[in-house]
Amino acid sequence: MAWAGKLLRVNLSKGTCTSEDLNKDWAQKYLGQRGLATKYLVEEIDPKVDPLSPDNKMIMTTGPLTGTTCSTAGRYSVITKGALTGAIACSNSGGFFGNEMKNAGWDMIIFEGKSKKPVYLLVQNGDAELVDASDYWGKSCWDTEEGLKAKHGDPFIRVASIGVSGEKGVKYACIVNDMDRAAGRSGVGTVMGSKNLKAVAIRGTLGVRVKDSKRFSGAVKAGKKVLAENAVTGEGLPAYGTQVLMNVINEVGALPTRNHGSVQFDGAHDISAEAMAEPRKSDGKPNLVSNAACFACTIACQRVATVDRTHYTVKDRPEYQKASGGLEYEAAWALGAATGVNDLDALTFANFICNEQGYDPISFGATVGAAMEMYEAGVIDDKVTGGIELKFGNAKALTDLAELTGKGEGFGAEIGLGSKLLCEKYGKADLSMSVKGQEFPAYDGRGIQGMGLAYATSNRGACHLRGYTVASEVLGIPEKTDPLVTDGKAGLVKAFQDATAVFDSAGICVFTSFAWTLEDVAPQIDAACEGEWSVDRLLEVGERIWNLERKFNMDAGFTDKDDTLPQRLLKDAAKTGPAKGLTSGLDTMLPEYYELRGWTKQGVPSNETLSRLAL
Amino acid sequence: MDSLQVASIGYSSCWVKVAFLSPAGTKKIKRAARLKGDEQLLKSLHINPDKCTGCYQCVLACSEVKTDSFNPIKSRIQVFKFEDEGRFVPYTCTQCDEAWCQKACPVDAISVDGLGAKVINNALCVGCKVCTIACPFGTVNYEADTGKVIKCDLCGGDPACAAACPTEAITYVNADTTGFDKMRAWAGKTDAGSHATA
Ligand code: SF4
Ligand code: SF4
Repeated sequence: MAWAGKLLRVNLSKGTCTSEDLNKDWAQKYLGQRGLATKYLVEEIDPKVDPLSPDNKMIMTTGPLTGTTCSTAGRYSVITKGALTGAIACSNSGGFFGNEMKNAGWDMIIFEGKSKKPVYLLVQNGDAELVDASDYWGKSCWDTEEGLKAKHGDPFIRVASIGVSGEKGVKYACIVNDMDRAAGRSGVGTVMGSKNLKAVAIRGTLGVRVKDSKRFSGAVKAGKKVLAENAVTGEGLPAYGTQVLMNVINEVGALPTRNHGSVQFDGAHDISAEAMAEPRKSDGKPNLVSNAACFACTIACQRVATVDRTHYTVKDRPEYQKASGGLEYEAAWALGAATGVNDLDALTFANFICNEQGYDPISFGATVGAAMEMYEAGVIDDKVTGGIELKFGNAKALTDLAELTGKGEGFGAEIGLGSKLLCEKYGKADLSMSVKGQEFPAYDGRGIQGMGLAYATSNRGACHLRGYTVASEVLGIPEKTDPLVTDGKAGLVKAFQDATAVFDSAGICVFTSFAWTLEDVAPQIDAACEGEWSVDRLLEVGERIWNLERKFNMDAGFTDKDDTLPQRLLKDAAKTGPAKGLTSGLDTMLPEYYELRGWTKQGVPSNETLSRLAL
Repeated sequence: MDSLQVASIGYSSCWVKVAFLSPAGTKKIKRAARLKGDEQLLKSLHINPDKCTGCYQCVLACSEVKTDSFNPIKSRIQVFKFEDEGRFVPYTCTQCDEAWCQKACPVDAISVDGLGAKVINNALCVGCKVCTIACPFGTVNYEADTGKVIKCDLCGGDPACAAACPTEAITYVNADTTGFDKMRAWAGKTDAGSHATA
């Protein structure tokens, strides 16, 4: 119940698909999705494996609630050793693919080995086969998805695929499903590409059942009510999407600008949610067409947008004049503030290309920002960039690079290395704004101190989605804390990290946590899943997952030295805004965090902690 | 965008027909009779695609009440996505007054219940699929695993889709006034225009 109880093992080297029973004991300890798949990965691969070797495995996984009517319960995740980071990678995606996988009767698909030729996996309920994908290799995610739907004559087949960037080894390639939803970070698409796996196409019609349907229905109804009545999930996100944050974070003085050179962006308004809603001159229509929802989601934060038809990027290219997935905050920040570009249409176009060719706009935009700084400092020149004038604020440079990176061509191939390798290559390692090789998202650790610690300790490299203390430090959820101080942040970060691991393992979207606490989630899980699921038990599961991921990273060779931030955040004080004069207080927060975690001074989970968590 | 009006039977439309066919003098009497029967006022599913986010809550709710599982293919209502335009359109049986499916059924397995819903009697249905051909809108569908057809039956007067919809894109409303919300919105705009010039 809730879990389908089956996993599909696909050996790409041998070309075989086999069905296995899900390990029910592990499900009781790790819930599902992020937690359970991490457990499988840890048991099955050598942590020191090269992420791009056939010995790395890649797991697509749903949660126990995925496919049910619980709000937002359509999520799936991809767990592997990340190509960008070499750390545990877990990228979560919405849309409709997750439900389809669950409705086909699979909790998980484990991919191992490497196919000799490009293939895609076709799953129709209990049937699974690897099919030649030579017709699709070299095609974008969009063409692949449309092509597979047409080929199989079923518009409701759901497809997750990589674009050309994933084939070409761009280090932060993603896996795109439903045209514009993505398992976006850490290079999970790069791993998929290294296995010669182009796509997974699924149709599922078996139905998802829960333990106690009557109680479940009541718990779900109560949960939906909480979301509807909350100002963020009931009003802010549907109306403005995550982009509502652009002006807010800029005012707080935590909007990293021009490769973290400053913490406020003079062009913030031009690329904000408000700007997306303003009618433009050419046709009187706004950038934003409508909002949209992922499967079962009663929040509907997704943006559907268009590029101005007269804009240089699309005026002769009608294929990009249609509506498609619009800017979310993180993408708008990376493509805009990080590069100093304030042209909303250029950003929207670049975002389309990221979706079409399947790569992460956060890492891409941040890497372009780092390259711009090197260009302006004279470290790289036109010869290196292939004639692209890579100055901060140059929209044309951004959109040209978006297309080149999507195809892994020209200087785009170097941008595809990610900021760490790129900056190291030109002797400027300190200009990479990243942790464990993964670029920062859209919050500056000087203006929001808790986020500095959250980035430094995130198991998948810099990330806002492992512990979103912005909720507390800026939005006052569940209670307001001062973003400028380090006091209490260690505990706050730990609490967010553990709770988020539960959301990510249940099959639901982390955005519900703006309104839901585990008190709202537990009754829904408890009614759906075998076993008894209290808040306390879920918190323990969350902490267990966090420590399991940590252990994997330690075994992979990471140490406490990697729990750090770029010098810029530790040494250069913010120049403007409320955080003026502040650097990140990581040094104060980190020891306290290790202690709260029950880790040694070197950040290693102590034996006591491991046994307390039954690890 | 136009709202689709998924009408349950109209006693209202019956009365219109009667009035139309009857001598002018009888009209009044019929109206009086109808007033007396107010408790039988009919309701219909009212769909406003403008409000739809494509979340599938309606689809899931339908499959839940019909099958006790969450399974979009079993849902009697489906939501279609028009990707390039960012539109989502929920679609289900309109419960025609004179139903093609009902007329086509060779074994009289489709009947009209007190709500005006066209309901399949599974004991009689032989799975010949003629109704799926007869319905011009495609809202009657064959279900391979049971060998019967499925379609919307208004859930006995408490449609699960409408209850589940978070945006009121589907409501279950008085069949006679389904257009009034929109009329009101436009009426408001008309009025504002006259004030502006005053
Ligand atoms: S199934 Fe078709 S013909 Fe029958 S009532 Fe519904 S819309 Fe009319
Ligand atoms: S529940 Fe409402 S908003 Fe969601 S898909 Fe159905 S009609 Fe659209």
